[in-house]
Amino acid sequence: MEPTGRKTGESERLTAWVRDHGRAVRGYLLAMLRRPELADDLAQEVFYRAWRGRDGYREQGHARAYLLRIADRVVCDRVGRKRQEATLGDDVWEVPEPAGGNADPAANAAGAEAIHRLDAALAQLTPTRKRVLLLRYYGQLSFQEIADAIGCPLSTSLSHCHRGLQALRQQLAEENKQ
Amino acid sequence: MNDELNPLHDMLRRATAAGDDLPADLDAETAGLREGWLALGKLLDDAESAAGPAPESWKLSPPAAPRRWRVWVGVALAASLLIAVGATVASRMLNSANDRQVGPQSLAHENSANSSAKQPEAQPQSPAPQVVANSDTLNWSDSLDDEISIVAQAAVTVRYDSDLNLHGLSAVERDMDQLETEMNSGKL
Repeated sequence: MEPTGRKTGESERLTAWVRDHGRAVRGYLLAMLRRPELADDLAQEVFYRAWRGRDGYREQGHARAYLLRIADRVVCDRVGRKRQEATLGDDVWEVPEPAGGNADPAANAAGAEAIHRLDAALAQLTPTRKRVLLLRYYGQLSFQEIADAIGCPLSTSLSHCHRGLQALRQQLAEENKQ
Repeated sequence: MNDELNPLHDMLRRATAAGDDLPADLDAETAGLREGWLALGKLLDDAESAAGPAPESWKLSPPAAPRRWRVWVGVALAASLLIAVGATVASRMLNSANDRQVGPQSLAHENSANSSAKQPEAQPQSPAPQVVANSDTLNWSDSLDDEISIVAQAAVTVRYDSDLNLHGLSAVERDMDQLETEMNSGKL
């Protein structure tokens, strides 16, 4: 009976992960890739990888951080197929968003405007700064966890975050002037 | 953590804290970073809304467990194959050992007794028994020449034994041929 109970518990945990953190995972993927259908596909891959690695995961209340790290790795793998990560450029990370499928033209225009503004804001960030800020935003990872995820010292992750926020602030100020 | 990093760490932690409020007790730089952070959050939320909702069902069903019976069948086949090969090799080795023990010398002896009138063959005279006895007496204190001589004689003995075996086998073959000839000619 124990294996069945264990299996049920694992299924419940997976369901809880999707329910509680699915939006954050998808949001991270969407912000990184800008393609909803691709983000949905990769979100499934994230949860699949999390499921495969469930034996190595210890429940410590950091499920979102765990899933976001997997999501970050999935994005890097995806991008790495096109180009080596060491030479990543913004042109690889930013894929133009296709027009929305909403029937309401006004909603479509608003959506396109929102995406355009996000594109403009993220264009101020290097890929690594983007990762740092998005991991912090969606996963609430500590800066040490972010440093571990992207493979750099804590000081570097702090620096990326600081400079990224400064760039966003400057972008915001310029928008306000206009 | 490095003392120099502490102020920066604290500032960024406050600037990027969860929630969408802007605390009044923040210093100017932290408040500025916080504004940038909140603006980013709003942009992300708007873009997420524009992209549409997540699909209602993701294919998250875990893969089926591998069928272990296939593994077991494979293991059983491999084991049976291994056993069969081992049994065949052991059988051949046993047969070979029996042939060596029974065959050549006695067959050669019988053959020479039976067919000496027809085909007398000169058996090589070998000092084999003496050599074996000599090799038993080989000691560390023996001179190098003696050792070389004994080893050479032992090699001759091995060759003699080999020739003897071949001779025995050829005698058997001759007898078989003779038997076949007599059967064909109707003598038997």
